[in-house]
Amino acid sequence: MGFTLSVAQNEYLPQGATEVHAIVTVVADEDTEVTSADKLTEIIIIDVSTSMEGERLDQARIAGATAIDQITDGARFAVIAGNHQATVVVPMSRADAATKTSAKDIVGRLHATGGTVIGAWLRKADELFAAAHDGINHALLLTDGKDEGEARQALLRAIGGCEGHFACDCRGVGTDWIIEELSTISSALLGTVDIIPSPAGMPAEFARIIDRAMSKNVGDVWLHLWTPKGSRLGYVKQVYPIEGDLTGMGVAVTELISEYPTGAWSPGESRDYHLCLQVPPSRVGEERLAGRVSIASSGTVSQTTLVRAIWTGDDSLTARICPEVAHYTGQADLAEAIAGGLDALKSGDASTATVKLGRAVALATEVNNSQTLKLLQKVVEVVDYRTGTVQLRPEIAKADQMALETRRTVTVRVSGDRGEVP
Amino acid sequence: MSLACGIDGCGGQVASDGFCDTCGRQPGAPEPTSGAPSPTGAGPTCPRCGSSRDPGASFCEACGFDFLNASTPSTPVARPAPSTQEPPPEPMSPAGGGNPQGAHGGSRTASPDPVPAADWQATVTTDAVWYARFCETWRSAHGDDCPIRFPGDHERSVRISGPVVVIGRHAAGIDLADEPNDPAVSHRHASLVLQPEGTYAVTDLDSSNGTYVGSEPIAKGQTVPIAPGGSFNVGAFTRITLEPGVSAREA
Ligand SMILES: [Zn+2]
Ligand SMILES: [Zn+2]
Repeated sequence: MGFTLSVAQNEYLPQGATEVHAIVTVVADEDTEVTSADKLTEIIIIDVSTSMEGERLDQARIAGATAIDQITDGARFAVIAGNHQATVVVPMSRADAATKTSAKDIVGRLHATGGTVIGAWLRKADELFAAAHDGINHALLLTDGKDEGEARQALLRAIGGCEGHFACDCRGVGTDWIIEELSTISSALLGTVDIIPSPAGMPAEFARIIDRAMSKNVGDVWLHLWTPKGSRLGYVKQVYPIEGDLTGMGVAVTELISEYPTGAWSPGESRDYHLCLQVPPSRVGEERLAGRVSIASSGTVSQTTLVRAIWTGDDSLTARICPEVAHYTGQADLAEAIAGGLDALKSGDASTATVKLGRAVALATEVNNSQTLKLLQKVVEVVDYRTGTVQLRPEIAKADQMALETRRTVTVRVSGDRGEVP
Repeated sequence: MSLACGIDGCGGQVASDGFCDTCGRQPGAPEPTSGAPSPTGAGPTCPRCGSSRDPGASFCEACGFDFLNASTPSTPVARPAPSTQEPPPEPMSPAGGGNPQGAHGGSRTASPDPVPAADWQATVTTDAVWYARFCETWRSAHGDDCPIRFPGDHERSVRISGPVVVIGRHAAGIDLADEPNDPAVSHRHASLVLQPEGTYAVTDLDSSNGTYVGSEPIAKGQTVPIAPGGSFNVGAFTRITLEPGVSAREA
């Protein structure tokens, strides 16, 4: 698959400045050959701990069957039932009418018992993926509770062991699961995390996730970044459609080149990255290349796009604000204001929560992020959108609070048009 | 042949986009017309890194060397910046390029070109002896049999060129997820770095299972030159042998 890159930045720096910001947009080619299904491997992990008993498990059985129906014939798939251990209830098989029917039958008979040891589920999935042929590996993990019965370190080790082997979209049903646990998994495994507030929402969500996983046709794509000698990387973040920090995930290829994993891509998919680079200072009038960015995948490197730095004494040039950089900086501030506001809310500090969530409302209004604004309105009553004057709602549903926390990193582009919701 | 960058004694290679692959500057670009106290390359230079020195500056803009407090270049006064604690590393030869496919463009030659443009051929084969050794290591580490099967004899050749060739699963240089697909290879496993002599040296990219020359693992940060016809092992059963391609033999 080919990729097209473009960059938005203000390349003009005043004397003495060393920090360069750029937004790099990456678009995967649309007209690419259809994914051959045998490259795709899907593992569905369903929590069957005791707390799932009742409507949650009823809906999880339906959701599991719906997910299996979405798997493209020829792809490989397996189902893991997770509690204090991980049981492979549907072994890795190639999807066809017969294997799907028998898998749905098995999923329809799942029953709930035992605890929740998520690290064991991940280790089992990793084992199954290792035995599967190499390709585009994706897991869907559903839980309703907190990771228990294993040390935090054990979970982190399990996550580390899976890194780079498969992508994992995590969903929590209800409000008894821990956002931090699932978001640690999804960010390390380049997936998404979201709440399914009511069990009845599971089938549709499962179908959407599997449908998207089946549309991927290149599995292992890396952002390839060259920076000049003497420069330092501030950060590399994905900023659209969801924020995700890649800075710590880089692999140094040489002293001056690092590659950052971006996971699997679908044809036509488009993402934005925010690069912050610290370059060695130069004299006014000088130009220096601050970065070369390209995409590396499966034996090919895309066209390279350049991030520049030109030092000038002309204030009219250096004062220009790059709209894309400002827009994504605003959304990063928005996500941070929400996190801060919700932290304050949890610790009972209503006045700080009001100030921070008010600032979030003003920022969401400014960047035209209507989805985030809607989520905020379930937590605060807005008096003035522009100034961010708000009042906390007297009754805040825990599910609304969790939805705001998990979806605060979903961004929109400058035009305000809506991206894919995770 | 590509142009070498002469700015402040940089010595990097100029890439096809016109910018130096080491310092990012543009040799041959017009000199700054205003605000520059001394033209690039002229005037006083930093005793440590050779960068041109702004008269009146107390620290080197490039490496942070303290001009005022250092009595001699060899005894720089310690400052909090780590770069002043030790001399900066030697420029890599050649510097990594933004274009691993090796499309160096420039036709001008400012100074003797240290890097002959060369094509090499990497032959990827399955190595039964290496595989036996891998299985033995696996057994002693895991206590059970290695789940990876030897795929039988395979051989394919990949043409490589350019300053840096990345080896790994779905890597741009040598993709080892291709048949026969060695599962013990990391996504970014090793890289080949073109040497001034025109040969390649191999370095391990902190891979899970390591890169071996002979039977010795390459230590972190170490770069091992591979002579023409030489080879190294990665993964469970992969051997990579480097041979000069047609243009390298002519060079
Ligand atoms: Zn240079
Ligand atoms: Zn210096």
